[in-house]
Formats: sequence, C-alpha cells, structure tokens
Amino acid sequence: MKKKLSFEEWSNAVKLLYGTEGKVSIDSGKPYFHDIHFSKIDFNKVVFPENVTLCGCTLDVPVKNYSLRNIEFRDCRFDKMTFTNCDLTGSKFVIDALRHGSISFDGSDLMGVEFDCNIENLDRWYRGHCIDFNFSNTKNFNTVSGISGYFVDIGDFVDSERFNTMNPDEFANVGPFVVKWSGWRAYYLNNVKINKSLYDFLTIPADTITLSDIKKVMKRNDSFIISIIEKAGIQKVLGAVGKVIEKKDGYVLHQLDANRERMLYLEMTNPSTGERHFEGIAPTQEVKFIDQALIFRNGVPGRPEILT
Amino acid sequence: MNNKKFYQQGDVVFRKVNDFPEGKRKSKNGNVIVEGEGSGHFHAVQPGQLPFSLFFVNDGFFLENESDDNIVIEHQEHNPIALPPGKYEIDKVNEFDWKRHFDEKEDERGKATRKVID
Repeated sequence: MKKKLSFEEWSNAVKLLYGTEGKVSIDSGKPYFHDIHFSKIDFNKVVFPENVTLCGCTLDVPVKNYSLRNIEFRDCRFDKMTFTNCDLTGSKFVIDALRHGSISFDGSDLMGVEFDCNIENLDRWYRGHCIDFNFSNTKNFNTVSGISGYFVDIGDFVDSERFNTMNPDEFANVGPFVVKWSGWRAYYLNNVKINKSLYDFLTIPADTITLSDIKKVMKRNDSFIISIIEKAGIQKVLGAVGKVIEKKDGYVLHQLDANRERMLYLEMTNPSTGERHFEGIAPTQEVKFIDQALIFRNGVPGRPEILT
Repeated sequence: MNNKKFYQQGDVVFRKVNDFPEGKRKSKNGNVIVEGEGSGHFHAVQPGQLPFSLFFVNDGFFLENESDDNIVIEHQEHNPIALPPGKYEIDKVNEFDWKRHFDEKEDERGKATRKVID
C-alpha cells in the first residue's frame, strides 16, 4: 500500500534525504521540487503528488505501474529512465535537448502529454547529445498534444499505436520536409533524418546557391552528395569542392572526394552544339588521366577519327 | 588494348573491325541505328544510302557499309557523320552513374557503369 504524503511531509522527507541538495517550495500556490535526485525515493511506498513541477531533477530509476498525472518535468536530467505502464496523463516534458540520456515510455499512458524540446542547440542534438525517446507500446499516443507531422523518428515510433501502420516507404520520395513537434523541429530528406543546414540548402532556390553555400553544406553532409549535386548541379559542386586532375584537348578530368569515394567526372564539349557537359567516370585504379577516362567512356583507346 | 579506328556521334561509337564475329546474324530492318530512350531522338543512316546492312551477332550490333562511298549517319542534335566503306561494331559510350553507385548496397555495388541513356 502506497502512502500519500502531504506537501509538508514531502518537504521534510526531501530535507531529510537530501539536505541542502534538493528542496521543495511553493510558488504561486504550485509546488515545485528542485534539483532532487529521485534515486533515494522509493516509489513503491509513496504516492507521488499531482500538479507538481520537477525542476532540474534527476530521474534515473525505473518507475513501474505508477501514477504521475499532471506533472511538469522541467529541465530534468533523464538517464536510462523507464516509465513502464505508468499513467502520465496531462504531464508535460520540457526538455533541454543537450541533456544526455534516454526516456522510455513502455506501455505507459500518454493521454494529453506534451513534449517541449529545446531547439536552440539543434546541431548538437543531431550529433547524439540528446535524449533518446522510446515510445514502444505507448497508449493513447494519438492524444499527445503539440505533435504535428507524421512521425519524428521512424525507429522510435514504429511500435506506437499511432504510427504502427505507417509505411516508411511512403516518404521515400517526398524530398525534404520538416516534422514539427511542439517547439521542436526534425528535418528529413525522404525518410532519412538530416540536419538543418542540409534542409535549408535543399529548400532554397537553386539559382541562388553560391559556391560558399556548397562548401558549407558539404562540411557535414558529404554523404548526401547526390542530393547536393541534384540541387546545385554538378558544375557548381565541382567548382566549389572539386579539384581538376588534368586538362587536355578540351577535356577536363575532375575529382570530387565525397562520401568516402573518389568521384570522377569528365567534362567535355558536344562539338555539334558547343555545349559543355559532365559525365561520370568509374573510379578504378587505372583512371588517373583523361586518356584512361576516355578508354572507360569509349571502350577503346585513342580519339575518334570524327566526333560530332 | 589495340588502337582501333572509331567514329563517334554523340553517345554512339562506330568501331572499325576487320571481321564480324562468327554466329547467326539477325538483321535489323530500316535505317534507324539507335533510338534514344528518353528524348525520342535517333541515330539513323541517311535515307537513300545503299547498300548497307545492320545486324546483330550474339550480343554485338554491327553495320557494314557495302558501298564504295561514305554513308552518312544523322541525328537530331549532332552533326552528320560520314563512315567510310567497311565493317563496324556499334556501341554506346559508358557512363558511371554515381547515384546508382551510392544507392546500391555495399556488397551489391558494381552495376553503376551503364550505357548512356539518351
């Protein structure tokens, strides 16, 4: 049987357990728990009060079959935190994306739960310094407020009630898009999560893209080289981040080091129209000069007797 | 690889050969040599040029200019090209499709070299 503590009892218990480390206060009639590391509280023995705000608290002890209704978790540190079969109805998670850790809501009821994530350091979020969410077997996920868009992360949501019928292939060819989730944004290219700088690059008008834009986006996104080429054009991309291997007889052999590959392109002129064009060349060991690139292209060495 | 004489009109290469390979010949009717898959453009022997023959042997595609004069090959986007009398193997130029290369799984790569699709 869990004991229901009064606010004063909670305050005394926190003082006893944490000394000056944590504290309980009331602000505008609303109770706040500050900087409390909940590992010392046995949730099997007490009923947690409703309508409480937890500020800067640490939650790293799994909680099971527990009611945590209408609680605001503000800038708390979650570390392998698991809510299993908990009732989090009406609660709110205000999360600083830079806090490491993970939250799992296995089988919990998230009726009306709101997530508000800090997006100021979104770039670091994508480098993994973030909280991982796992909504497996979550109940009443449809009613989570603040969620718009279809999904946040296919891996995270695929088991939830809302998204278990979603086919990731539906998003395979939709191009760049944003998923808005309360104050948080996630950026996707088709069904792959990307960072904001690549999203911005892929959504500005192609004719406004500068060489500097390409250099900047390539720094962290060279694995998306094909999308970058499709957006900006191979000529611009080579001009920004390629290098010329050889120039000879009107041909130019370009190399672009991206996505762990030596991407080769042969630039040439259509003699009938005067138009310059770029053709992909296989990056075999032999291809180091224009002559070898032409052997790959034409299937025979040398130059044609006539080329039109 | 021996240096062979060849002629090129856009993405089509006509390589001079001494002989055609052994095998059953399958004639190609008409004067169109290669038709573009996307553009609708085509490489074709100029009408009225005789005699010439187009045929397949095994996996190869060949042209023989049996006349004593050049035959002219036309295309909508390329200047005409004159092929002297003789035997030719017809092929398309290769390109490396980098998109396909990256789309393929690591262990299934190697299909990115393809004949140019006009």
